Amino acid sequence: MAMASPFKCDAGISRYLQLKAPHVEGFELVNDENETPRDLLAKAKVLVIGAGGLGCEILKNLAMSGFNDIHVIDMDTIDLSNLNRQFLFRKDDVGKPKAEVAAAFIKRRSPHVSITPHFKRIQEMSEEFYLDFTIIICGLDSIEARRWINALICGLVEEHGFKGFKPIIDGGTEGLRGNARVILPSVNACLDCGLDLYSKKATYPICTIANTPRLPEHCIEWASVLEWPRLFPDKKLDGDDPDHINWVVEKASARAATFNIPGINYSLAQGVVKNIIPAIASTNAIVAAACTNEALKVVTTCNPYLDNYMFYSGLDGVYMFSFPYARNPDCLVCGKREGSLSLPATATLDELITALKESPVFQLKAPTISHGETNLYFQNPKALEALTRPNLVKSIGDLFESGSTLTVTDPTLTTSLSVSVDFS
Amino acid sequence: LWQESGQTALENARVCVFGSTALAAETLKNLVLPGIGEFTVVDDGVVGEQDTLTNFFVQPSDQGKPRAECIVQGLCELNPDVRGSAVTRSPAELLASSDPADIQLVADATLVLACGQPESVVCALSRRCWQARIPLVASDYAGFYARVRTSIPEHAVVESHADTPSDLRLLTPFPALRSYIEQIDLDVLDSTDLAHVPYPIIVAKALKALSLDGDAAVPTVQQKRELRDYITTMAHAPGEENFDQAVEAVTQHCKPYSTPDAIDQILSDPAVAAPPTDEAKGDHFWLLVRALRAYVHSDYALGMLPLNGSIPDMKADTKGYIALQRIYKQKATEDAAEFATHVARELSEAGLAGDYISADEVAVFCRNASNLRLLRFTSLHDEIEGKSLCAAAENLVAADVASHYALFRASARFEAVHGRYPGVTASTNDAEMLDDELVASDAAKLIDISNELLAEWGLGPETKVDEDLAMEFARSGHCELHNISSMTGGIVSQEAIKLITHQYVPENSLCIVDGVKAKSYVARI
Repeated sequence: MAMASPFKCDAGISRYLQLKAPHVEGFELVNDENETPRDLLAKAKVLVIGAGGLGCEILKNLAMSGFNDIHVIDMDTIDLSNLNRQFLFRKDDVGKPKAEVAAAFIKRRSPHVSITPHFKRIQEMSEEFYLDFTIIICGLDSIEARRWINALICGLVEEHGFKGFKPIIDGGTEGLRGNARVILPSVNACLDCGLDLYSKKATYPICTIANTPRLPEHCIEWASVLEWPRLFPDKKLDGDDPDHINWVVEKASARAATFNIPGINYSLAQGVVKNIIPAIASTNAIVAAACTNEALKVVTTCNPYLDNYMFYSGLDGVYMFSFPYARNPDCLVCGKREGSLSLPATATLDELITALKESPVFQLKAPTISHGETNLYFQNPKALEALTRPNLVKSIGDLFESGSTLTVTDPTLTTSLSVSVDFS
Repeated sequence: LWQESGQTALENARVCVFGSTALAAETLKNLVLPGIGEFTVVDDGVVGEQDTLTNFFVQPSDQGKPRAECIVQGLCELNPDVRGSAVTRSPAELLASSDPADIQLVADATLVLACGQPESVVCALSRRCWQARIPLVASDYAGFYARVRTSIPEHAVVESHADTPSDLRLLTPFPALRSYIEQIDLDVLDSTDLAHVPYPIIVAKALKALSLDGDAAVPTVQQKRELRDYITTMAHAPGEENFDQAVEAVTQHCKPYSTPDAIDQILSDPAVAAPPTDEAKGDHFWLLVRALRAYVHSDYALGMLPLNGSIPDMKADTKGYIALQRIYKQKATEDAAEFATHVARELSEAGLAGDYISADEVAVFCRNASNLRLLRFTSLHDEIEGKSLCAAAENLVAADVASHYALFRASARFEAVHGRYPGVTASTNDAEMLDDELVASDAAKLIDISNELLAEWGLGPETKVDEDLAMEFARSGHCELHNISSMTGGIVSQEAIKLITHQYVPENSLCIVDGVKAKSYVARI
């Protein structure tokens, strides 16, 4: 059987691919399509999303696990601050695309592995691109990107059936804790089924920030959430831009001084703005290894794979456990794709949009709303946005009747949602 | 995550690693990246083709070269500030040597790691490290399973970073708090101001109103109910957040002060009176504990630990919150100063200089007095020689890990008898032939050995080894899978960082990694 690249795997993995294992359910030395587990591994095409802290570990693990056709996509370039974790990068690589440098490193280390970088955003790639892969492993640092790929992959199964079935293995870390999950689209819980596991951390109440700050964090949020948008309505505050953070530190410190609150500094400001806990190499290693270990089992069936959510914590001893997170029949992505809202008739369309953003069920980013043939509000393009903007201040009672079903689209979703609105 | 003090400890640390396969390399990666000071790799292995397929830190062109040197080179690239060196000798041979330089290699280490080493090497290392009170973490693998075991006589954690509820002293307010609360008159406040009174003040006022603020008062369940009801009537309007917080606080903060059990145990530990001599290592823990005990028993402290002084965020106006915060901070500062005098007395009685322990370290200890943790371990050599296992065997069963542990031990016994690991035909993995019948018959032998061991440890005959698991171990041929070594390397390195920085709590003492079920099991053995 001709291979795209010469297949090589170590003696350890060979044991799991070739020895009889009567005690392992579902493991066959030859399957119905006359493929051996070795064939399955040899021809598997893996997409790695993200070439950062988790991504570097994932790529290393895949190359050391017999996978020989790897693609990696990442839209970022290398920053000096990455070098203490993202070990495929060196000082000379600063400024270059992560995906390309990572791929080159892996290729030098494992010449028999075919590895293709994509210095792109995941949203730029076509459906055909994703359809080509056997399995996808995500080492992302944003909920939005995760939700986007999850929605896309769930959509592929709907459209193409088995041909569109692409398992996703998703990992995330935060300090000494992390998690990994195996998503089998249309079979088990998708990412959106467990959206509350990723709920945004509670931010401080707006009245505290505006009127009665007590903690340095309140002053920082005042500067970043209230002052910045007021003074720079068209510029997004970038947590990675030192000039932006310095501005926040300056403004927050001035405010803190008037309230006699000590404790503002650069790292606190950055932490609050980015809402982050520092990432460390050891936790990244654990979670990435869990992901690639699952990928090996899913692709070769050599042992049962994770069903379906693993959680790790190193805060007190070593704690790793897994459990099957249940599928949500009302899931907006893989379930009924319907939702409902209850608002007073006097609420404005803008308030309805805010409700869609803040609701833990929806967690939308920038929804576009239409009712039947009528476009109520368009986020894009500019001309349509300007045309529909006047609707924002109108009360929903004037725009449609109670019990109406609105069609909502959003950057976090690849298909539309039906939302029925009742007037409370 | 471990702040400056932890980072300094890391940068001053010297790690000595025995073994140079993927497990050792991956563990070291996670120590080199955050900036460990120095590391040495001891191993006489030579890079073969299998290493190029499983060990990321050797290069394809390294075949034939000493593996220890190759991984040191690959690892040092990750962080130019780290010093790494290789000793191309067999761990067994080095540990048997009486050459002072060889002995110094281990004696100088801050931490020792044994990666994929046989029981004889682990035993020898354990004796050396236990005697010198150097923490040892031993790890090994068998296909989808791995084992991590920490061995050190004792390990103290001052900065555990644990979440503990704030100590507000509402039932026993110190004088400054009492007079601050007394001079506040809630009746003259308008509704807005009342809705911004911090809840500790509300609770204190309620305690006084119901005459529950006397010195010996401890509210009963009924009285707490009455307190909550009374607080609700104090508000001008329902649903005020600060009054809701006050109601909630009754359960948490209207109970008598008690020192956490863990602290009581530490304060009454025999080592307080007769501590191990660790001056060379700068271990000041017991001296500080002695000072803490003296503090707690003094008239000043009234049986309470020094106040930590931090209060949670709460619904309040800025001025009121800051004022309250200052009161608690001031008391904490006074307690810390008082504690420092006890430390000074201990130092002088021990004939040590006044600055023997830095003011910073004293302050950190004082701040964390309610969160101290002391871990005591059994030694690895006692475990391997069977001296401590009978006592600990029940823990293995309770943790569901008896079969896994027995199979690791049985595999070692099998290897000692047959000169090869179960399931493996040749003595090296490189030229291995896969033999299903051999795997099955070796699995049967493993089952017998495991059940013998379980009986030796006092667990038979109800406890039998899981036969499917034995089959998996034979199937593994004790091979090293990169993913499992990478995951285990992550766990070992995290434990190593905790042991070096004395921050966060290490596992005591055994962890089995299960790559089939994606979970871990822990047991104290």
